[in-house]
Amino acid sequence: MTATHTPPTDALLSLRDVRVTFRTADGVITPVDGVSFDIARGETLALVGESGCGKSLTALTILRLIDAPGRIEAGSRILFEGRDVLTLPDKELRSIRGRQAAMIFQEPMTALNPVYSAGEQIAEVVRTHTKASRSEAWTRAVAMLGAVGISSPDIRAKQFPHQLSGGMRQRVMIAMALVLGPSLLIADEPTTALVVTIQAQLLDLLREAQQARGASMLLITHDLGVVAESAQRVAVMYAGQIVEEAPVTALFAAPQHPYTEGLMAAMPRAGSRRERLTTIPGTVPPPGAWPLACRFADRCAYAWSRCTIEAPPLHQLGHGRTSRCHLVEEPARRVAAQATAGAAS
Amino acid sequence: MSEPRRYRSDWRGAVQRLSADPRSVVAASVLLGLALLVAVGPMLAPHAPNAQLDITKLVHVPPSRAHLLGTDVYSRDVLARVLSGGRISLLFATSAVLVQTIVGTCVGLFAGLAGHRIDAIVMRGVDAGASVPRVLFLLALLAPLPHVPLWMLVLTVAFTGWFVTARLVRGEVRAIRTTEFVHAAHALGASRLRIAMRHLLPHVLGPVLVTSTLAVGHVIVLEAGLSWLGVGVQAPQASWGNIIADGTEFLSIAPWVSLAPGFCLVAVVLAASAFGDGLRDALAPGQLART
Repeated sequence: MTATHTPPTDALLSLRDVRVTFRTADGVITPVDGVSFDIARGETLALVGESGCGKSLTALTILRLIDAPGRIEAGSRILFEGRDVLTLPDKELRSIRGRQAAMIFQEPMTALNPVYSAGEQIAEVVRTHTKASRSEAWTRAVAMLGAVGISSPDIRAKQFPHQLSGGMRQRVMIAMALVLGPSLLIADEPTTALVVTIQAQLLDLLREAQQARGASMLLITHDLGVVAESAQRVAVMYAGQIVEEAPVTALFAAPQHPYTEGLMAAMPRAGSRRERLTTIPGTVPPPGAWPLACRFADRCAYAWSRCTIEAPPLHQLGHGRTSRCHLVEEPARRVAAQATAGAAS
Repeated sequence: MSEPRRYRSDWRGAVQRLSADPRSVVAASVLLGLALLVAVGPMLAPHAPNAQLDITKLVHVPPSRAHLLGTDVYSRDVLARVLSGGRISLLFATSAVLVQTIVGTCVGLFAGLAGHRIDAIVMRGVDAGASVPRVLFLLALLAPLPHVPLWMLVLTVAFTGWFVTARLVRGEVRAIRTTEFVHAAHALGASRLRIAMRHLLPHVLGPVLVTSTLAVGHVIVLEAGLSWLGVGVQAPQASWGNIIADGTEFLSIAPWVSLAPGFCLVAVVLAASAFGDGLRDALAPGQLART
């Protein structure tokens, strides 16, 4: 179990056994259930999973942004730059938010305040955290807009969100996140709301900005294509738990967890002659309706009797790989199942 | 490098739409014209508002060249009194509305940002306050007092009038505080106070301005009513309300005494409500890009 091992010393961010609960009319649900991972300095970790698997909530816990009725359970530990985020006083926490760890939101349409110009929004971040004067903050904002690839930044800075395109708005969001040079970027589906061509540009921008500043990044996405391009390591989440973690090349070469395998099979490939896209049958069950043993069992092609009786632990596979699946102990079953599937088709 | 320009595109658009709307332009001209008139008028008027010119010969003189609006039962010049009373009435209304708007906005912001329990307690208090009939309450409060100074009258009126604003602001804040940009501001390290001042206040300003404009008409009538009932502005100081009150006794023989301030009162109330409506229309499109 990784849940109890001590964080590596070079980690910028460590999550240990993070659990988020929500009190609902139907009882307490646990949409994030014992998540642990580390991000080293300068590293990008991609957190992958379907909608509703708890990846965004996990990201929100890092800056303690969970609102009531949600709560981060006792026993969860989050270390950021050696400080325990969950016990920090509010004031210190606020000085981390935006300054040392900045978040980039999914929807650039709604995450910018419609009554302030692009430059004012960036300057606002500067003025929140530093004693910079109005004009100093403005100068930094304009420079930052130029740095995120916006042409004629001094004109764009005076424009309001509704006067900017979706791609430009997201660049403004990125500028807001980068302006104080944070050591951690948390990007929650940063390109999902954008056109594909713009997506690629912005991912390049994020990667370059991150590398130039030596920052770490937690990249939340459901798009494995994005993962391959941008991340060094991947954590796959399913139903509130991490089911597999691996370096990106190793993961793509040989996915260990059946869910990861399913995600990859569902990825459309150039040159593939199949007419229909492969899908994973069923959907993520809502929190509270999770199977008691393996949470993926009812959608899994390999599932056998053990999977509905005994919850698989997160097996350590060496080389920084983990998998939460009984197949680790009974690999023969994978081969057998693949053989039958091959014979059937 | 250029300096940030402190304009809001929405406000600029609103001003443009407002000046293109004839109703709003007329209403604004009426309000400004009357304000100007009562500001400089008393200095130009040929008579002092409280001067009893000749209590034997000049009682109830109908409007004429010498007394444009006639005189009253004490032979005072009605024009001078309407101008001087207008000062008090308009000043009273604007200052009372200013105070009640500030109080209402602060309470609304506080309740809107507070947790569910505190919000519920504050808003039930607001409900209770709003359910008390205003005129009756003010009458009960002011009638036993021998002499109420004007500033105290303003405050009592204001403290019975902030409930609507508080409700409005609280509702807007509740709606806006769950938007992405407020979450984003929170995630970027802004404190609650900063979020309230920098992100929420600009958004509630529009609707608050509309209610306040409408409230001016309401308060000016309230003042007239209170003065008419004898608990408002005290004689000999003129206000539109007490000039009307003085004139009602002699309505059949000297109708001009009540009609002149009555006409002004109606003009202000109509203009304020027309301007408030115009302002609402001008601010409505894109005032808040809520999604």
